[in-house]
Amino acid sequence: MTNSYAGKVLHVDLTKKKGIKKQDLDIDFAKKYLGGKGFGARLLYDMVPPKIDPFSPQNLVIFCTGPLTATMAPTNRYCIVTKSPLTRLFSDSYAGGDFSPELKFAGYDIVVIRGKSRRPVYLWIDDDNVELRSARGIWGLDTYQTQDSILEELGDKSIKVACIGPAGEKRVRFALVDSSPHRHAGRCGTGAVMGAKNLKAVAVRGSGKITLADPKAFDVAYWKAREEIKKSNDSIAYMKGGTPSFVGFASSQGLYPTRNFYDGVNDKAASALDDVSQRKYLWTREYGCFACPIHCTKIGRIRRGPWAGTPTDIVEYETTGMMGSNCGIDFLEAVAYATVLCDKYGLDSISTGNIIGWTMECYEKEILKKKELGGLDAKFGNWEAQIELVKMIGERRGVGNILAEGVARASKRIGKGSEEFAIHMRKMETPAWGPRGSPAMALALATSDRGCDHEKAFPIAYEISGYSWPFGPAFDRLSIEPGKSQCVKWEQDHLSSLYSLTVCEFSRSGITNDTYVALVSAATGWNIDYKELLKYGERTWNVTRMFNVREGIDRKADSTIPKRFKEPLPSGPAKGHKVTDEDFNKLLDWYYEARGWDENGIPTIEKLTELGLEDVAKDLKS
Amino acid sequence: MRGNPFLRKAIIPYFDLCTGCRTCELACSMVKFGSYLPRLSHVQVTTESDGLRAQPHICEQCEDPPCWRFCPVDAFKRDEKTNAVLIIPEKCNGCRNCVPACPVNAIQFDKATHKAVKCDLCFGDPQCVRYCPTRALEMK
Repeated sequence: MTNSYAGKVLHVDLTKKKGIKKQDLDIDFAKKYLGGKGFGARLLYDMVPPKIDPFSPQNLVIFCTGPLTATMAPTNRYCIVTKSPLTRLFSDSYAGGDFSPELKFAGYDIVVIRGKSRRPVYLWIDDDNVELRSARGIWGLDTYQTQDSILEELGDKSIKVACIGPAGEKRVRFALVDSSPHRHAGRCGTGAVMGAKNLKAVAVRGSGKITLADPKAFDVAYWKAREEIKKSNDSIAYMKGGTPSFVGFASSQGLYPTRNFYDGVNDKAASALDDVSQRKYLWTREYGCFACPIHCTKIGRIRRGPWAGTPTDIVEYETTGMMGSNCGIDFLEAVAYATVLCDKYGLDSISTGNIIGWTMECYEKEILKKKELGGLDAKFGNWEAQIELVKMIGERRGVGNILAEGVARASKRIGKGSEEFAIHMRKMETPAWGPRGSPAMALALATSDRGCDHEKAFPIAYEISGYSWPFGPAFDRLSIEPGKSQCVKWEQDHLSSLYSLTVCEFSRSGITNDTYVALVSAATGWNIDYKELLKYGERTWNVTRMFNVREGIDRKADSTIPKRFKEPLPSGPAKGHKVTDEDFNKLLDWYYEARGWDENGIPTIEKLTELGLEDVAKDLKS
Repeated sequence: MRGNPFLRKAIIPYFDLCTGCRTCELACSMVKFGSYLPRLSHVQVTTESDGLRAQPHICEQCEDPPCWRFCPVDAFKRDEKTNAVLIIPEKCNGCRNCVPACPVNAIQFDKATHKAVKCDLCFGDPQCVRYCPTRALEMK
């Protein structure tokens, strides 16, 4: 029977001389884990031994696509799964663009890379011909130069590339992977793992085809999705202004990190960095990822200031928050330029912004002296210092060598009380949705499987924006109730299943659950309903949890709320609110109960058996 | 070979509206080949490496088509209804002369059937135009 999988798994062992193997995709495996995150989670759980060093050759880099990748279903992404060098936990990074469909057109659903090459190489996948080529000439180049050089060397501009920049080569613990045309799979340090393997890039050209089980039903579902996107106010906001259109909302609600998360309101930065200013001073056109009608990305050139003429992407909401407001900077062009630098070095701009904010606070509290910072006057708001710090981190130069380890390790190294304002959970830098003023968001950040992350559940929509969730009404903003924990659990399952399809979470503001189900059913030929789709998400979530439990995660690790969030918020509508241990523990108890885990946060044998994970449950006993 | 300029119809691409999402490539290949096969789509979208421009490339149904001039076996004809330039598959010998002859890269070569393929305006109802989310393609 035809379905929308490409049908092959590619195994590449960089250590061996003849390490390239192809295997058929096991359709029972696909039926159980669906794709994307589901595939990656299970393969990582099975193939990576416990407690290994993420930089060791035993670690894997797994490129995964899903059943809706390379079809016309709105929004396409791929995910890279690995053991994160930042958190030493499960990690999954996502990027849109043209790379993921190209992998499937070349015939591969999954590419598993292991081992370590002795010399810098890049992987060249040209349909059935797969080879490792020397990357000696491109080692050290930034991400933009790398992509251009590879296209030139291979002599075809239609080739798609995923590569790392100098930060990945130097194993900066939050280095990202940049894939055609400059979409970034960030957050967990996936780029550093590729760098540790001496793998500079993966280049793909695919000329195969992807078929659907039921093209007619798929077409009907597709047009339904298009209509839903057209009618959704959130989707229209994404189309018009991208993610920065939420800057004003975040600042007015006290959720916008300001000066290393000291405050949640920064109206000056919000008005300087929002979508209206960006449209006026940066953007010239809209960009849509493969098959995406939402086109939330905008591209343009910096028009004013010392960097006039530099091509730049949209400065996403998270980046305006972390590189801008969190460092006290409200100069749009400087933030845009610093972000371009992050992209070129291959740095995650959320983590970079967080750690520069922390450095600035260290400087203002005289924990780090001017001499230690290489002569930089790193006060809050000094954009020149910020740009220099980005370069130092990307090159691991001077103090950058310490900062490149991430805020948790850096603060431990510097000491002198700087740990108290290092804003991270489980060693991952907190993103730009401050949890003070949104108790469920604190739970979502703390229980995210890849560290501290806003993309795995976003209960702010139900606490503050006033949306009702499918199993209950909208919440009172600051209330502590079991429904909030259940809502976080549902969000995590729901988004996990979408990440297994590898669609983008921005599409869910428009496309309804039934339409997703219709799209998957028509693409794969399996008749599934929304309950089953959620089950895929829950199964994946439990596999990632078991991976993390094996690495030593438990209740204690889940409840490390940074000290700053336990101090009252200085301003905004939720002024005075703080995340208390009492409130948080209540939410965590309800969360574990909703998940069917024990009070220590370990999945129970009953729960795993119910999800068809008997083989994983066996590991629990031993 | 020459078309009637008064009857000329073609799909006009607008680069300023194109987001580079390649929905048109998928729509075209689904109609022509029954599967998603963008490498053979009759419309091809290229994006510059700095991302500042995306451009759909599609046949302009020339009044005096260079592809036709390069064809050694005269495997082209005019569609009676739309005046589009068509390839006659039975006559095409797979020499590929027409592929580089086209100045806008609008001809693809199907290795499976060993024949050149090009836009036929879907005989009056072009699907790329119908699916494009931003109206960057227009039939005129």
